[in-house]
Amino acid sequence: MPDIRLIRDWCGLILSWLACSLTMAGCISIIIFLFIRGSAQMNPEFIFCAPIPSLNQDMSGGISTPIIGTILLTLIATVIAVPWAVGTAVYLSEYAGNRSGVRVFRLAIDVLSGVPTIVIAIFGLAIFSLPQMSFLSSVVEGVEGVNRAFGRSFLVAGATMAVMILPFVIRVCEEALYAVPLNYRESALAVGASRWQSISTVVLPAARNGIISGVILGMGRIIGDTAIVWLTLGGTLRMTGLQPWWQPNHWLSTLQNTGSTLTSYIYFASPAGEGNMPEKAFGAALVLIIIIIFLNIAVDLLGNMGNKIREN
Amino acid sequence: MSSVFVKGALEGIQTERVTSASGLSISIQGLNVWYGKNQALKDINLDIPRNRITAFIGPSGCGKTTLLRCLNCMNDLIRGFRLNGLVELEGRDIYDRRSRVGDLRKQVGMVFQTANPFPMSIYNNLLLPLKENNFGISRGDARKIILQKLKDTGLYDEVKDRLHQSALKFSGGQQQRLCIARALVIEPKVLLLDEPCSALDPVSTSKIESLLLNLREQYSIVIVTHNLQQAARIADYVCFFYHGEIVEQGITEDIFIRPQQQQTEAYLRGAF
Repeated sequence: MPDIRLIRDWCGLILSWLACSLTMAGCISIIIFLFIRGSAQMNPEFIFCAPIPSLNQDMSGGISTPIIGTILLTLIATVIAVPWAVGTAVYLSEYAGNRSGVRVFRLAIDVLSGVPTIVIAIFGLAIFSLPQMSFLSSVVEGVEGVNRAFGRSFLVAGATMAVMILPFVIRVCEEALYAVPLNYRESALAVGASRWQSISTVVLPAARNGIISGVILGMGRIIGDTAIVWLTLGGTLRMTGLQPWWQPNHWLSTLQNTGSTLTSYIYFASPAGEGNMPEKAFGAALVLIIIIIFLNIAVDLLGNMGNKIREN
Repeated sequence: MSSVFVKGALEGIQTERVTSASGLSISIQGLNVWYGKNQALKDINLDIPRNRITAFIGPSGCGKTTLLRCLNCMNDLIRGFRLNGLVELEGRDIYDRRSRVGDLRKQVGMVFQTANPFPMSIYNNLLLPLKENNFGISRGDARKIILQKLKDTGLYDEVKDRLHQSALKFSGGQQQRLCIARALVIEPKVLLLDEPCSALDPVSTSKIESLLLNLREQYSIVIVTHNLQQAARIADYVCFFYHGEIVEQGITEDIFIRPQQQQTEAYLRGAF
């Protein structure tokens, strides 16, 4: 007579193991597939040349500006989002308590995190197309009866991306702050620190690793997003500011104008999107996934490093 | 009740245990405290003498810690906390709207039940309160104060080679003494200790007890303890709490040898 409980135990183990293995297999097969299809493109020319609009795949250049675009956009959005999110998280976890008004606030953040990025993109485009906002992009000129900003630039896309990752980063920062033991706060207050002093000198440093991990994961989401890039950064493969765009004195013009990122490059190169260069698209996808993998490794290393610092 | 205590304190001066002249450090009159609808302290009247050790004893949940935390406004963070009555530190009402809580906490240091050093080096643990309370203190001055406090708490010889290592690497007893040193760097007048030895081994406990006896010369000390022997060993005055009230207070010998109230006698006998 077999023991029913033992069988149930085994079933549970096997099912959860299967679920886990399936996830692993999915993840690894994506990476392997991209390596097989994309590795043929991996040469210095592909990485360091700007894309050239061409119908011939062999003459279409590389992905240097999409890589730069991805980095630029991620930096702009992070610079905007991090202080904003940390400030919000500090308010929610340290000052707000559980009042009913605050509950509405939390609900709003949850709702924002569920808004699809394409909707945020449309909203961003609408706001930043207002003529008053033209300092972030450029003014539409030469079209009669139209008085508005172009509404597409690195700055606009960065700001929109920042809004997109805000709820996520706020949540992670809040968790990191909650994880700081109450007695750190009490002991800081007990030695005469003000609320803000205790937060800035004890609580935030103690939560630093959690916050940085959250920020890096948020960067991953910026790097991977397409809809916002497509709508608010525009459909140009090359940088459209004053040329050459990389000259230091042209920095503002570059940021106020459009470009592309790896994700929009993939979309515009892939036959599934608007292009006819599948090999280039796979190459760009491989670069993209390598960047994401490195970011995740960075999060891991950071966690380990944090533990070591605490032990020393 | 406060008159009983003052009388006790006056008698205490004649005993050999209490030698130097003392005055009042903290005076509590008619203090009531509520958490929401639950009244945690009822009509507390108590005088805490200067440069003496006052111990709060009593069963769990009787209000000892609540009263201790009232003395440096640590309960203000708790939702639903309400208080009326008078708490005076050196003659000034600490719950006066005009007085700033930061200034109060500079004068009233606190050590908690679990040692809670900040997750940074020993040196920085002591530097942080100094920097927060004295803007622009010079490095040399800060270092002098820090080393002095480490010596005062008997930590210096144990940690002098590891001042810049994380405080979390040290033993529980060392961490707790570090917390005492941290409370002392800003030169408070009063030191509050909430069961400081409850998680420590007997050797660390005795180190802290002898430290407190030394510190008594410079600070007024209030200690909450569940360890009756500890109260008997180090306290000059003892208050027995039960159900949010002070049942009995007086000099230590009187409470332990000749308790006046039946509840005190029962508690000391270990009946609850």
